[in-house]
Amino acid sequence: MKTLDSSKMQEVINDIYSCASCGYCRFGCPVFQRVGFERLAPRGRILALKRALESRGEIPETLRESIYMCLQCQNCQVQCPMSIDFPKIALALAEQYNEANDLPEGPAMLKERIAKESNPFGEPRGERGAWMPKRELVPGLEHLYFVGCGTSYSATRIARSIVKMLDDIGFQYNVLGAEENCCGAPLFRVGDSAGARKLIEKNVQKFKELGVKTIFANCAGCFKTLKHAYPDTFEALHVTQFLMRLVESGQLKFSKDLKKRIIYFDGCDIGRHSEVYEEPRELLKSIPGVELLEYEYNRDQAMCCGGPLLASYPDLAQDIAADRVREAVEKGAEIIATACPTCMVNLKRGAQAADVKIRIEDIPMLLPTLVEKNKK
Amino acid sequence: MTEASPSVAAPSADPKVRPELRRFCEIVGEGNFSTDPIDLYCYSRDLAPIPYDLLYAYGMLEPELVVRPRGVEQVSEILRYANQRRIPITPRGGGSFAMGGTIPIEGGVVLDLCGMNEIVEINGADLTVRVQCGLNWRRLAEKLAGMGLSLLAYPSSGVAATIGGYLGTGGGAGIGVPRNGVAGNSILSLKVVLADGSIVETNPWDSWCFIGAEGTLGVICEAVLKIAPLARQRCFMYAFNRLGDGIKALESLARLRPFFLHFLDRGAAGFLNESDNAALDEAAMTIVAAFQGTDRQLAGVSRQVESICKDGKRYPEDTAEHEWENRFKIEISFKRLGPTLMLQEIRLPFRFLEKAMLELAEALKDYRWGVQCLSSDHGSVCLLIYALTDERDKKRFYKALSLARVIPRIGYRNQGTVYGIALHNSVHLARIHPRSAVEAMRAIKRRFDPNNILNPSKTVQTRVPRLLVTVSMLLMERVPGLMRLGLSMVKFLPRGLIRSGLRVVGGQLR
Ligand SMILES: Cc1cc2nc3c(=O)[nH]c(=O)nc-3n(C[C@H](O)[C@H](O)[C@H](O)COP(=O)(O)OP(=O)(O)OC[C@H]3O[C@@H](n4cnc5c(N)ncnc54)[C@H](O)[C@@H]3O)c2cc1C
Repeated sequence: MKTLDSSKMQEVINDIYSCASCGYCRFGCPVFQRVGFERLAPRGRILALKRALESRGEIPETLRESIYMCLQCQNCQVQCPMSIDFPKIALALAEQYNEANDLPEGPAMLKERIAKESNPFGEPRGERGAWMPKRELVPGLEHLYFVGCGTSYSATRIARSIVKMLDDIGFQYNVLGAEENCCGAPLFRVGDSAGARKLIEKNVQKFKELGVKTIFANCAGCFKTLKHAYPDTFEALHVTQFLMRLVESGQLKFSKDLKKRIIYFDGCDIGRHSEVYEEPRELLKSIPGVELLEYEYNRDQAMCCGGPLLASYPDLAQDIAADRVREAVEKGAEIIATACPTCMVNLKRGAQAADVKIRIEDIPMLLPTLVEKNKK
Repeated sequence: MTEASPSVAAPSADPKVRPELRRFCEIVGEGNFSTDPIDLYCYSRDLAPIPYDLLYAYGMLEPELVVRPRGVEQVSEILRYANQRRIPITPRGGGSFAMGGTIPIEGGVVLDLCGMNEIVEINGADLTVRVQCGLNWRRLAEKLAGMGLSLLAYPSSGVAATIGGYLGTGGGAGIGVPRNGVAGNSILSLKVVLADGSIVETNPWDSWCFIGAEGTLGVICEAVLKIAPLARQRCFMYAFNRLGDGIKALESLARLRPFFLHFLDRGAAGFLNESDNAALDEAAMTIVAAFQGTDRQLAGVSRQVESICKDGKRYPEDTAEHEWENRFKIEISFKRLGPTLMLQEIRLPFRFLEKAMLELAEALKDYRWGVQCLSSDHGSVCLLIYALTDERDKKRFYKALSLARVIPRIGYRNQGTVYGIALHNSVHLARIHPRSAVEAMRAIKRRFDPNNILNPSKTVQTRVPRLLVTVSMLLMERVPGLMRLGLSMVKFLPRGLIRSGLRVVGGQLR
């Protein structure tokens, strides 16, 4: 794509022109902080876009890479005095690249795989539920555990922990297994919102058939998508919110303690994008013995781990994660607790790059051995 | 934040770099230089919305290369080589200055110093900190606060601005300045690389030579700053319906040496209400002040503030606290309303403030405008004057650009001056400083940088003749449509021709 269709940028044009070029966006942009050149900071991209809009739409070739290197973590919007929603601008552009069929290699491959196997890794569709012991779908159950692609195929320990814990306390819920489709988040990211909506329709159909009312997801990306892009007839919860409810109602109790200094890592999808900051912390604090630590920059100021670039720019993603791991070590943490499989996987890679030995676990993985069993 | 070697190399391999410049790439190494067209464009801009055509007409060249050195030795090697080859070098920090200081008007190489961003040492016992120049002020302030320590002065653009950039611009206004004086007061020593590549470590007195030099005399690479224990703080906020009462209060408050002193006029308060739902009284003047000290001192200050501000309406303390918390943002958060902001800064003695405000009201009557005051140092205020416009409506916008002439003139008339010279105000040097001072500054420049490689055509020099600027500003004010047309045609003239033309009509580098 050589030129920009400015008519398709109308929704974000005011944001583009509202940019003051003050550079506040660079403060919490992990990609910029790592690579250090303006073309990879929101300010630079907006300057390039403004120039394009003023020169009959001609865009430099390197803008595409720069746009797809945006983590869409939204830290820039928090720092921006004008609260400019840069990820929205990036998505408007990604839509154009997608329509022009001019995607970089990584996103193009991802689209293809989702079309074929309904997951971004190209793993066989039929094996989506292979991680779990065989279980039947029970129509009419109010709760559904939405597992997501990353957890179904690679971070399966998280799913197994959740299922074990809930089974141990005798909680009833459904899991779709091979009938679950990708939530659509990766397609939104690459600018294929039409494709994402198709996936959403398929999932919604299933939810309706089962009579689902509340969906909980351990993947923060799935949770965000369920919360913001799915019909609000279903209540979407992150698994930490859901488990915290069980703790509050007394259904979930911890009978053992965990004497560790744990630092909670605010993922962007659960944090800034969905504004869930407290429940994961509350859940960790409800475990006897836990000393909860905080990152220097936490909650809405938290820095992204780089996870969204795991597939397309793995080295960069790993370097960014290494920064986050070092920051946790500096705070004296023994465990980094995440609420998102992508964060967990990427931070583990970061720890390798930083050559640091530290336990990195998704919150549900910390819990099963501590839970008081209540089998009926 | 520690920065290891970046994992994404600039897309430009050596072939795109002119052979003469390859040495710079070797010095900084792979991943630390760029010739990407987006980068070259971005590194030739700063905060001010100056149209590219106008800079082109003033003879601007594009940078050929951006380099990110990782330490003082690399900076030294870069300057030594540039000096031998007479290659212009433009130092750049956060790029948040609006006076064109980082615009590489003579082309050459942009020296992006943000990769040198480490806190080298915090000495809590001696109350000093040694930092690299590319470190961000907010990051440093927060790091120190976590250890119960505080900076003496930092800019309200601290989320973007770097140590070197703020010192480079003079650090004459900012948070902490009304209490502790200008930023230079807190400097114990600077490590500076001179144009020939030599590295010098200054004492507090020599440091002043480089503070405010806008990157024309040397590259500040490290600074040792005085710091203080973090003190308790109280915030106050008052609205005054009469400008005169507000100004009197402001001047008296300044004498109490607050850590933070800020005011908004009616226009600015209205902007914040509209864009941030601020629920402020749209009074003639709203003052926010924060004081530091022991509980006893603060109790005393509190009584004094109440008596000084007896004619004003007091806001609840949490509203005042909120303005303090928001101190990095309030100055531009309403830009959306433009969405283009014409921003001018002038510094004035208190006693001329009321007169200047009336003159501003007259000069800006055709605009939606407002004024805020950056925390002032003793005896003077630094006014930020905004007019909203929209750069997409070219005719309106070009007219608004002429405010760059109108507003400083109000400053000069009222014993004031502009805040920063760099590129945009260098043509007005003769108005800003006495002739003898200009001569002295030029002599210093020649001494430190005989080959004129460090930020050339700035601060003490200009490429554009003053007459040309005055005429173009007048044209913008009176016939903006014509000016715009003219500028869009200038774009088709070769740069070389423009630059020789400018030389013929008197723009010169001395
Ligand atoms: C919202 C907002 C609030 C602001 N508030 C303030 C304020 O409170 N006080 C104030 O003074 N200004 C303020 N400014 C203006 C500006 O942010 C400051 O001047 C800031 O300190 C510049 O820092 P920087 O790192 O962005 O410098 P840059 O813009 O990168 O550079 C500024 C100048 O210094 C030179 N320079 C940069 N680094 C070095 C170095 N290491 N050695 C030598 N020269 C160097 C450059 O060549 C240039 O001439 C504000 C701006 C904004 C947008």
